[in-house]
Amino acid sequence: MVPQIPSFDPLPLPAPAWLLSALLILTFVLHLLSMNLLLGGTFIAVVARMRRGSETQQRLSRLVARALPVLVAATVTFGVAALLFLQVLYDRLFFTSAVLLAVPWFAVVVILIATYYAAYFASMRAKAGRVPVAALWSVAIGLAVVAFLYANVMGLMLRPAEFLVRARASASGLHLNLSDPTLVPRYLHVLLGAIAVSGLGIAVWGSILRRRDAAFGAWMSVHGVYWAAGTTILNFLPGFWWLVALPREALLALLGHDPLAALCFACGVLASLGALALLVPAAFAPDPRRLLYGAAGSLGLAVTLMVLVRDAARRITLAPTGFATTAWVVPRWGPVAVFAGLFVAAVVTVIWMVVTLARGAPALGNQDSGVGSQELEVGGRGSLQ
Amino acid sequence: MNYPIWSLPAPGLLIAAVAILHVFISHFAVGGGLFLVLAERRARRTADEALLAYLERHSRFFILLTLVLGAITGVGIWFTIGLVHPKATSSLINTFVRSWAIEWTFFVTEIAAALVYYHGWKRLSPQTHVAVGWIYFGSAWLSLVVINGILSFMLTPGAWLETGSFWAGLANPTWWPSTLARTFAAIGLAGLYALLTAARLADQDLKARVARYAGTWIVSMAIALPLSIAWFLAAAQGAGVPAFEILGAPSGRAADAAAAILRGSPSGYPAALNAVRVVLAGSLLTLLLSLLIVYRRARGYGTVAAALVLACAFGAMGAGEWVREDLRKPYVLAGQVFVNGVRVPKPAAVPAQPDATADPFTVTSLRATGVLRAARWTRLPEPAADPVANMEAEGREVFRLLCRSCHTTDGYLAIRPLVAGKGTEALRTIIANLASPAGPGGDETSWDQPPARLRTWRGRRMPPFAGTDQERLALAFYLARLGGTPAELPGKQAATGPAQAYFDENCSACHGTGADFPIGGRGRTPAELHEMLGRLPEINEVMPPFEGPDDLRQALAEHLAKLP
Repeated sequence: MVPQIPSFDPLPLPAPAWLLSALLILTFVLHLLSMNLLLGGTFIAVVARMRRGSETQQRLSRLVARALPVLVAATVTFGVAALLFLQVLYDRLFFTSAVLLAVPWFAVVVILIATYYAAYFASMRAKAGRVPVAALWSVAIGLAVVAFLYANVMGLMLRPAEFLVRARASASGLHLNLSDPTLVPRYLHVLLGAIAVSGLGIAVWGSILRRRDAAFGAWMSVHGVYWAAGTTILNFLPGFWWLVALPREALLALLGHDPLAALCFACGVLASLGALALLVPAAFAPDPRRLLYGAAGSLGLAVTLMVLVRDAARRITLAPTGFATTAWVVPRWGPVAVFAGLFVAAVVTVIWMVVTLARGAPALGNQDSGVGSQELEVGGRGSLQ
Repeated sequence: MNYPIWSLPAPGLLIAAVAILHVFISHFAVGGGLFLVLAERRARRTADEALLAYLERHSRFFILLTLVLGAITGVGIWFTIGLVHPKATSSLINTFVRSWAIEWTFFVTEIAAALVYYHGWKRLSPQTHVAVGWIYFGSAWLSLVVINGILSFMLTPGAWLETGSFWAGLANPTWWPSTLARTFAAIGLAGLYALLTAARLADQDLKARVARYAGTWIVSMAIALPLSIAWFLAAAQGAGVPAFEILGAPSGRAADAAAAILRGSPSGYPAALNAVRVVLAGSLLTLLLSLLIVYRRARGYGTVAAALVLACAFGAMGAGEWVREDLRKPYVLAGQVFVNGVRVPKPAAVPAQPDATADPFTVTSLRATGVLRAARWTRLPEPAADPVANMEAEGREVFRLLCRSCHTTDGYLAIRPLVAGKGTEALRTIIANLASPAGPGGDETSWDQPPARLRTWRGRRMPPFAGTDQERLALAFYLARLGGTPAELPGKQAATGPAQAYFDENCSACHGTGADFPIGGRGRTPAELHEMLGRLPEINEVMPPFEGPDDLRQALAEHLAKLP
């Protein structure tokens, strides 16, 4: 089947493609890290909550539940930016894929609203001392479904040869991209990766909390390391499956035909192994902070490199279909400069607000008071001053 | 056309549902932020602990509503318009990616400030807490300013069409008046939502204090919003939007539009007229009920009363957004893209694309090549032996490609009742006259130049038909069949004579049996009717002039005189 791709808009790109690509990758990495902490953290919290006999597990579930609304906000905020730049660069593929899968794509909005409210509900109940397991399950399932629907739309985008046959078969929008051989491994890889990143996040969080509550902080660190190390090891399986499910051109490119993509891929795998090498001793170290920070840096690097690999794989997969981002660029630098200035101002303002809040007097009277200084707090008996 | 079509019954309603919900919350997100910070300042100045405690609870309601439903429905609008109008959305994003990127910096700051403000009641010093509140309001308002720039660009692109300048597009003719109108709507909504959250206060003194304070916000809106809307309408009219014509005044005069709103009009856009009536009724009820609560029942009103006021405001605001959307019809991007994805020829200011082929989706391209050939996702069955079935299938597909973005067969904006009883010839004429380009003075121009204005059939604000003559005939045939006309191929009807044929083709859509204005001779002589046919636009300004030879005019007059 000849790929059917919509024609170019008769408008030039308002900024060079390299700049838009860089912004896409930057915002997507930030989105992915937030989403990993959110999705993986929720799964870890669900498991912890179901270990009813363990008070430490219950505390962990409360702690994670309280952070959920902030994590949803961060995930959505970075996600909209990434989607914006994606739509500029891949408009013709993205909109076609979204329209063909219109119902699942629109369902993302509805599910996200319900999930976000469930996250707030879980957070508020956690402050009151007990998280309803149903609320955590709702968040976990809602996020998993949203991630699956995203994987479908983003996957179909890369299969323009499917467009025409699907459009002619039905215009109901009631379809998924289930015939895509990369769908399941891609989804599993992201899911396990999310748990690994959030496990590491919990381990780092625990190492910070050790100053206030040594026993619980140490337990959190070790617990987080188990999750991170276990799922990182497991994740090599769907990662390998995804690799072999890629179109032949993309696979060969990652194995050396495209030196830059292959280098990113090799470094990404090495960074994951490096993170693993630091995680294992961290589980046994009396003060694992440095090891954990190193592992976090290494895993963050692995995520970034894998995003670059994904970008290269997308480019290579699309090359035989004839798709290219328009080469017609008429840059207008004034608005770009305004954006850059405002971006810096926003980053400075947000950092100032968050640091000021973190330095504020912690609320007292909460059973998690030992770890309260790192949490966003509204309850308690603090004075109005 | 360039993109596949999602066969959704009433796609416009889906956009409206998501957008109206978002607008009603997002304006509160702006005004409510100002309300919180000013009320907090006032409470701290007067050491009003009870008011501070209320504001803290109000801030929880505020973030639960605005950060979740408000923010995600905002994303939802983006998702929805991308599914219903992918071509226009793609163009809009291409033109305004920098605006959205700029707006995103305000959005990030706004979200972070809202969370820090909410979590900071007991952790930040009063000064810092108020400062964070100001940061929240400032970023939320600036976000509104930028988004409103894009929204108003869609209605009045202004100098952008000539210069292609980003700043000209953003600071378009209706930007300031609509920003002002939205700001005052946000202020009023802050008062209305405060009435709602204060309704459950047990402390009656505090409840009365909050209600009176909220009342001043509502009254501010009641005074300033109508003025800013009037400025907006004047600016839109000045920028070439036939606002008053859409509201049923072909003269373009505000007074005639006001009369049409009260008494109805045979021209204009009926949905817009009804929406204006809802705006007026909803606004009046909102104001009266609010004043009743604030000045008569401030200590004793309940949640139901406050919710009723909000419901009235929701109706008024939703209808207001509906009117704004109707003012833009038949465009989705004024002067550039019609609601069905057909483009007008490229604005002069947009630089020429090097080595470009002609855009296949402009009115002129589609009239030359045909929509069935140009569309990439045509779904035609294999040709059948029956020519009637072939023509009907062709017409159905043309309808799907060009009309389904607004019309359904029997549901929302149903086409069947609109074409009921109309013959193929009459429909073919209507379709040909749906819209034509006109210069600033209303004189007819060609599609090769971006039109300053559009002349639309009976002011119905429809896009022009963009297909070949054969496709127009097939569409008319399909619609006539849909409306109950017997299945005879055009040209095979019994010979009727030139007068009857002219009447069927040019007059029967409005004046035929079962049409809106059925006509008979009414006892007039052929001579009287012959004279009247010579001055049709004088008799009714929405009537086109008779354009035929005198013998045809005479025959038509005699034909009309014989009608019962």
